Amino acid sequence: MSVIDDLVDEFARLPGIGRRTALRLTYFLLRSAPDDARRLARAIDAVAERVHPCSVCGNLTEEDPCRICASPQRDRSVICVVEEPSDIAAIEASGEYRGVYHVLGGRLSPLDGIGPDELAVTPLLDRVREGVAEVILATNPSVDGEATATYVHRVLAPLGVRVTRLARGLPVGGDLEYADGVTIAQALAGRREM
Amino acid sequence: MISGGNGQGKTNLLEAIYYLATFRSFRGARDEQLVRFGADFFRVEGQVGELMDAAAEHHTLSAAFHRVSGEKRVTVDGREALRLSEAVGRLPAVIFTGTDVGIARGAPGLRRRFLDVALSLARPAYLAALQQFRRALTQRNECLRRGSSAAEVEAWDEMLVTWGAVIVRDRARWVRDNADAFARHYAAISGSGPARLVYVSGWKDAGPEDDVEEWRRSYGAALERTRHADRLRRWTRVGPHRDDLAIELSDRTGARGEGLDLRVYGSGGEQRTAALALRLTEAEWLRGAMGCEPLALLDDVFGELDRQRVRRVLELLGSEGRGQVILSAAQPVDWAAEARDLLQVTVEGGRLRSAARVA
Ligand SMILES: [Zn+2]
Repeated sequence: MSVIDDLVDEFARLPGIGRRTALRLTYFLLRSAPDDARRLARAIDAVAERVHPCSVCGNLTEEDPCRICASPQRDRSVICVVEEPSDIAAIEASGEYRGVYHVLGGRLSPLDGIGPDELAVTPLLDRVREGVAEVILATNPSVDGEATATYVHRVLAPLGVRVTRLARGLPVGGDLEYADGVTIAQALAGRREM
Repeated sequence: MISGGNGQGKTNLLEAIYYLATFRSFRGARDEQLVRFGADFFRVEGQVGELMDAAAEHHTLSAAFHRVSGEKRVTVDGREALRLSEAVGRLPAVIFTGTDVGIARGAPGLRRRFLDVALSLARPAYLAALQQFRRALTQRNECLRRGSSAAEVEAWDEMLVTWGAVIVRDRARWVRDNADAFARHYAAISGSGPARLVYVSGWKDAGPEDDVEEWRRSYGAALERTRHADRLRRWTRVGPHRDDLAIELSDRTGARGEGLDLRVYGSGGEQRTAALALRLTEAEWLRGAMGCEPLALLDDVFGELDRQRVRRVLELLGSEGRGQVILSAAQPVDWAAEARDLLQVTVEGGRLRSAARVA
């Protein structure tokens, strides 16, 4: 294995990058100025070194707690539950939401060995027990995302908190990450009681 | 008209053509089994449309499967289809095969697959519902298999009920809407007593077929009832994945006045007739639902059938539609009388050899 092969392998592990694209990226870097490649390496190194999950909500952040959890402007009585940190970015881009977040770190998928213990469900219950007015379930409208919402709703029910679900209008089977801001804003406005 | 000896590639050719309709093997073979021995991938491409009419719209469909990566690429007019439902049904086709009698005689799964394929071809929303339902079902069964908590198992119920209700609504409606056509085709082929199609749901008597809310409610209640048994048996026992399409011989009745089940009481000839009638019904329905003639593929059905049935089928296909018919048989000569004006092609060792038109 040469170092070139190593880099191709690393690129090929990234989502949406096949073997052919991995080769193209590698040879692009080999042709560019050495400083360009080093700058990319430093940027990758910096995120690996400095970005961590927020100890409160699970969002990816350089500070702890994250900027959203630390902001006095945000309404801490409303928690929006998402699958991944990237979903937070999508909802923030809509500019419609003033509450805080909770990242589950995935969705239920027994076939992949992902049950409630693999997700941050217990930390969510702890946060809700501290006093929260509303939990908005914003998991993806896929089969797995919907089942995750149903499950979280069920374990929250005994706590007596108001639980809502983002309205459909999001494409069925689609990913929140790819939905545009307008769609997310409409879905937030039309969220339903569970 | 494709002729050639056994193992020369007649079925392969028809399978390749039909692959562009459903993007699956009609034999139920897995994609990796369709790759030629020693090769890494297969690729099929076809032009679909009124090709005789240059002004009419037509599409180029392609499908490729790579054995090593397990990747399947489907394109419509050169653009990759992100979901299979974007490409399924671009080539409306119905296939008649020598093993079709299994639909009438065999396990319920074969009849469910018949309904699923027919509905998916004409309704992309049905295929999407089917995929969502299957996902929820496998996940729920996995929970049951692992002995997960009730909350984990029941987390999948809402999705199961939502998509399951759409599936049974569409299937039950299809059966209701096509029952007359089936009876007509059955009578035309057999020249004997009537037969009837009935959708059999494991949890609810038929009707009102159109009411998806009612199907949701009744399916939800059924899941509730079988909850305990599901946990014991470790799989989901009720749902569209357990339903059946029954074929009843309505001139012969059982003790309670019900039509006798063709699967049990029908003769071999009646079962063959029913399978053919189902295919003809499928073709007629596709014609109505999609507003064009489906391509009819007949794969070596003629060894199974007597000459009289064959003649009826060709008459029915010929009289009701002007669509393209591609048929395969071991012996071209047998065909002179029934198959007039057919382009004759021989296949040998996987290659098409000659083409001539029979007067
Ligand atoms: Zn945070």
